[in-house]
Amino acid sequence: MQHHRALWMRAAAWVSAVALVLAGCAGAGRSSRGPDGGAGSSGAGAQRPVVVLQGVDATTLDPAGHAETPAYNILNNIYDTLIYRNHEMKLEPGLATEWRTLNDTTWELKLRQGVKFHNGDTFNAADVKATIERIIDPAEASPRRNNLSAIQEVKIIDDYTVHIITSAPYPILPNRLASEHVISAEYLAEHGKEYLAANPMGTGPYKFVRWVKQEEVVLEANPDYWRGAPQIQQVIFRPVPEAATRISQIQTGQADIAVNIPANQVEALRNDPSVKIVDVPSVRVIYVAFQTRKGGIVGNPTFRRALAHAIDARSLIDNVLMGAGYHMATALTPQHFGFDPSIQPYPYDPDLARRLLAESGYQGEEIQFDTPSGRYAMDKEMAEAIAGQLQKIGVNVKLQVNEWGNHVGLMTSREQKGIYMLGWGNATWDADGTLSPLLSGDGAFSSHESPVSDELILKARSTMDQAERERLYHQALRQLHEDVAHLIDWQQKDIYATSTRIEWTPRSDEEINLVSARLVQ
Amino acid sequence: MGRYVVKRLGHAALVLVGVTLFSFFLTRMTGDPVRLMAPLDATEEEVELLRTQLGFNRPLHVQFLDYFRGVLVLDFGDSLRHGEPAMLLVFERMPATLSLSFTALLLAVAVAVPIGVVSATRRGGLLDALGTLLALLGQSMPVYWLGILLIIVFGVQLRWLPAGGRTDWTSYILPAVTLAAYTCTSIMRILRSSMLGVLGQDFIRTARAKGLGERTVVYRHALRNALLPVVTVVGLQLGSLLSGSVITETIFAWPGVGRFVVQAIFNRDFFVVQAAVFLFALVIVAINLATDLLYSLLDPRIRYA
Repeated sequence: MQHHRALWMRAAAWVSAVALVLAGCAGAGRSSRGPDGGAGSSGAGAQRPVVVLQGVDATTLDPAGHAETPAYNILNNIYDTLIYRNHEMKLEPGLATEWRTLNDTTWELKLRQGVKFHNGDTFNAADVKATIERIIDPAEASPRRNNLSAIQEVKIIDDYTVHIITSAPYPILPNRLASEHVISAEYLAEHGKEYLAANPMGTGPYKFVRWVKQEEVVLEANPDYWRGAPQIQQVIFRPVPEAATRISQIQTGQADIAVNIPANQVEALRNDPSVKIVDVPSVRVIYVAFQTRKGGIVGNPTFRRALAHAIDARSLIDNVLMGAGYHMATALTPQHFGFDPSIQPYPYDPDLARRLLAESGYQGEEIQFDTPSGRYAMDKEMAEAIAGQLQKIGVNVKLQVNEWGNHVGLMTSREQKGIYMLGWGNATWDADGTLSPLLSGDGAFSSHESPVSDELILKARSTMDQAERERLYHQALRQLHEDVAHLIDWQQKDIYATSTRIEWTPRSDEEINLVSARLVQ
Repeated sequence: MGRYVVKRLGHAALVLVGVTLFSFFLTRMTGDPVRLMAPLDATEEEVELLRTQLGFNRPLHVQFLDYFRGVLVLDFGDSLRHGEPAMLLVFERMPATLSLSFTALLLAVAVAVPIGVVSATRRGGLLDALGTLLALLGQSMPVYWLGILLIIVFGVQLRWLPAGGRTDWTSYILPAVTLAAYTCTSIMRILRSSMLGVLGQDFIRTARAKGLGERTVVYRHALRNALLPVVTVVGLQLGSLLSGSVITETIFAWPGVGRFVVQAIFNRDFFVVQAAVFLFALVIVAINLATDLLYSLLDPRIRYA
């Protein structure tokens, strides 16, 4: 009997699905927007919506259900975070007005009073507790859990004070909280998880209007936003996978902000008066590293140093990346806490490289170089050029181009054979977020082991004194540079195209905040 | 006729079982979806837990039987990435693809039939030469090239039409033209040659001898007979229009199934890929059946047993 009912319900679902298909066929083009992107639907005299083009659609609009930039960018306009990261990537008060440590594992947060959610509910401590506990609950299987797994408990002291207890000293907690969107506890309890994921409701500058999957997410300004109403009235996010299509939609005035513009298009676009090109150094560093754990010739530091001196980084960045990158000495960018400006990249010196290669006892063994293709800007091409420069000094490099899924599998199982390329966008803006996973002994992506740097990284991780942490990171970075754990690092440059009617400055963390954008016409 | 239909339905069911089997094992050969789903810095235990939750730790044949049992009651599994029933997700995107494909098909037929007829009746004339040139162009231009060309000319330079996305009816024009180009020119060529064959036959001479007007002879008598091979081509082309819309959908940011399935393949979202392949197979099988049945309507000489 039970089975029959399930069958009937399924049949009913199918019938309604077929009806949906037919209805969609008949009613396609229900919203009317001309080629100028004009808002036929929002009435005469209204401001035209600002259209943002990203490469893909969000998989979900649940703040705890994703770990991806396109979803984050949409949610970031609907929700607030406890702590804000400003344009300079520094932390400032958000929904929390102040935060301090009571002891090594207890943080006290004072919350902002008088903030209202879009449905009129008042924001308070219960919302903070609900937001965090949902993410750290293993049963929820949130892809964001790793960000906050150091948190043990959230205690409500009063309506506007919470204590966050961590299982060990965790100095980067504020950095982590700066990327978690605060939901309403009442809204979640009342409507449940599925509804929340499809109908986001926060305290942020924009209210959610609708989401037509693969087509658009529509938001409208929240006039009661506690920081002041946004100037731009309506915002539409659209997924457009093809870069050429994103560009042409900016050129035709159908869209206002487009992400990921290929560097080779920039020259031509600079001559188009209807387009502005803006760029910013990215949070993402791409690196080519050695698998030093497996011994062999790659385990020999002299060999690695020889290879490092064989790379003409300036020429690679100018010619292969078309200038869309910055050569780095280490995997940290200058904006990351712990960055050491005194460390210089290995200079290009092919003669020294050949000498060191001979000294290292290299016998012509084949060195495998694993690279992804299409994951980072010009990744395969960079790998080919690097391999070419290594071959020039007499290293027998075999380039292996992997599909991304296989490449990730290779990295996490630590099966890389010799050299490999990977990128890392450490949005905590703290050295720990790069050094622990990539360069410490038990890091998920670490292929290098050094007792000296390992100990320094581990110590810095649980030290609450920031000056001391910085000193430890400088020491660790110098050691890793001495070890030649990485062959080359470069910081990606994020390139955007915008229409001329909007004034918007991109951020290093790829966030697109419309509250800080202005229409100029 | 009835028995023939039953027999063809039996064949169709066999094809669908084969497609289910193939798509299941082919997707499994592409690698591990759990690795892509888990956060990059997940521990080995977390990955294993996820794998168990999703049932990917079970033997392959057990997974297949489980999936197949689901398919029998129209349950195609949940999307690994979106957590919703895979077939419903594909269905949601079907209207965009179908409306574009049918617009392209209508456009192709509407343009191809008159040109094809005129090319045949005025064989060797200027219009025939132009038709041949058009056919050559349409058959040899790659879809992505034509699409981008149209965007540059009509979207970016002239600003007459939107360069992408699905908004009002104007947004259908460029992708439909792109998609229709190849089909249109195939129909044109087939119709021209079949028309030429028919025009040389005895019954046409008889019709003319009876004193019927040229218009009646060409359109009532000749065209009806010349359309037979065209129906086959249209049937075949509809299948390729549906699956071939992948490139067009990507270029024009069209929110249809093609683009969605490409994303699903990259994400190793097995259940979505399987559901889409099944649905496409179903549509193509249905079109082939309909084509065969249309034959007997158009040409009473063809009878099925």
